[in-house]
Formats: sequence, structure tokens, C-alpha cells
Amino acid sequence: MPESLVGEPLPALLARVRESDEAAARELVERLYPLLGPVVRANLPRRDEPEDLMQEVFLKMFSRLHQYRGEVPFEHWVSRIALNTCLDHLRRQRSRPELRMSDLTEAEEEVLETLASGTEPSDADAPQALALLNRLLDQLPKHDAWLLRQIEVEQKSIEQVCAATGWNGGAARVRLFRARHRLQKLFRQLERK
Amino acid sequence: MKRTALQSLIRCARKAYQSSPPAAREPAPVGFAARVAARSNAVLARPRGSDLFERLARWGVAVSAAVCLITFIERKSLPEQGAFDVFLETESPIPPK
Repeated sequence: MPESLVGEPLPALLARVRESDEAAARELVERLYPLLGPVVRANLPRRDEPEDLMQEVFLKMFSRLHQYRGEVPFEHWVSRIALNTCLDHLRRQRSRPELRMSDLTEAEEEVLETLASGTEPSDADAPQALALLNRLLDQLPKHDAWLLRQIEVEQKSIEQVCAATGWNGGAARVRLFRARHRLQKLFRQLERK
Repeated sequence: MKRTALQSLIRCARKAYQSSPPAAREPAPVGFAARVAARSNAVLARPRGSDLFERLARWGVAVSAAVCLITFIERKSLPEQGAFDVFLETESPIPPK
């Protein structure tokens, strides 16, 4: 009967994984999957399968395990790998073609008309507003869209984004400024149509 | 005005995001961990390019430092030439006997 590693403390488990212990590697994957699943699903590029991406994240983690020095909690370190893997995939994904009024659903068009008339959409329109915003964000470079979602929709701070990705704060601020400008331009174009 | 319209859109979209349920923490599907763990050995055992590069870079730094040190010591042991010596060497019209 194989030895159970369920209660094994993380440092001991990592040491065993480094020694190519397959049972320890399996236990590590079982432990981290619930943590990384939501990270990958929330940042999953179109057409990518979550399972394939999860597998890539874990293999990257194993290949970089020798670099982990314990300066940050292991969960943070792995989450960063997961997020950056998703962002790499997002970068490869091409932006959607130009958005036209005919692409919008009736409900999205209504939200746009409400906004153009200068009134605030009601709470009932919120799902359509989110769908409309996502359509606009899909036109932007993928990293810009991701950053805007984090800051504007999920209301994370730049510091939180930088901590999660390892980005430089100044560069992230510049990217955010440009992304906002691009989004504004796209919205204006859509309004004119 | 248009900027306000975009801000309204974002504010409204935010409400939809906030009302959506948080992502569930699901366990790994059956067989996933075993599949990944089986491949982990190959990844862990593979010689890492970054390690080789790191080793090469360290050797490079050590050799450069050694060369600099030897050159410095060699130059220091030579008698220093004054400006006048250099002038005599290059400008003297009388060839040395």
C-alpha cells in the first residue's frame, strides 16, 4: 500500500518532489489544483481548454521548482506562474475584428442608447453592460484588456496587479493609461456608429 | 459627456461582476494529478538550459576578473614612462646607436 502524503507539511513535500518522488508530485498537484483552477478559469483565453492550460502550469511549476527559495509563500509563487502562463496565451490570441453595431445584441444596443442619452443604465441592465464592455475589451491588445478588467471591473489596485504578475509598477501605470485611452477611443467610435 | 458615458458603462458592468458568484474551488479531475505527476519526473530530470548558462556566465566572470588582475599586476611592475620619454622615443631626429 503506498504511503499517504495527505498530512505532509509543504516544505517536506517539496523536498520529496525535488527528489523526483512521483507520489509527492501527485499530492502537490492535488493540493494546488483547487487554488489554481479559479486563477486559470478567470484568465482563460478563448479556445483554450482549462485542463491543457492547468497541465502546462503544473509542468512549468515543476521545471522551475529549483528556483523557489521560499521568499514568498509557495501558493503566491505558483499563482504567479499560473497567471503569467495565462497572459502568455492571451498575448498569442489575436484581437477580434472591428466591432459593428450589427454585432451587438438588442439588449446591448439598448444599453448603448441609454448611455448615449446621458442616463445611467439600471441594475437590471448590468449583465448587458458587462457583455458590451467585454466586447469593447476584446478589441484591445490582450494585456491591455486584461489589465482594464482587473482595475476597472474587478477593482484591484495597481499594487495588487503588480504583486500577482511581477510587473513593474511604473510600466503597469503607463499601460493602464494607454489602455484607458484606447478603450475611450473605441467607445467613441461605437457611439458614432 | 462621452467620457461620463463610458464611466457609467464601467460602473454598471462592475455591478454585474460583483453580483456573479465567486469561482468555485474544485478538486482535480480523476487521473489529472497522476498524469501530470508522471510527466513531472521528465521535467525535473531534464538538464536546464538556464543552469548551464548560469554556470557559463559565472566562469566567464571569473576568467575576466583573473585576466584584469593579471594585467593590472603586469602593468604595475613595468617602470612608468614619463611624457618626456615618450617624446624622445617618437620625436628624436638622432637615430639610436
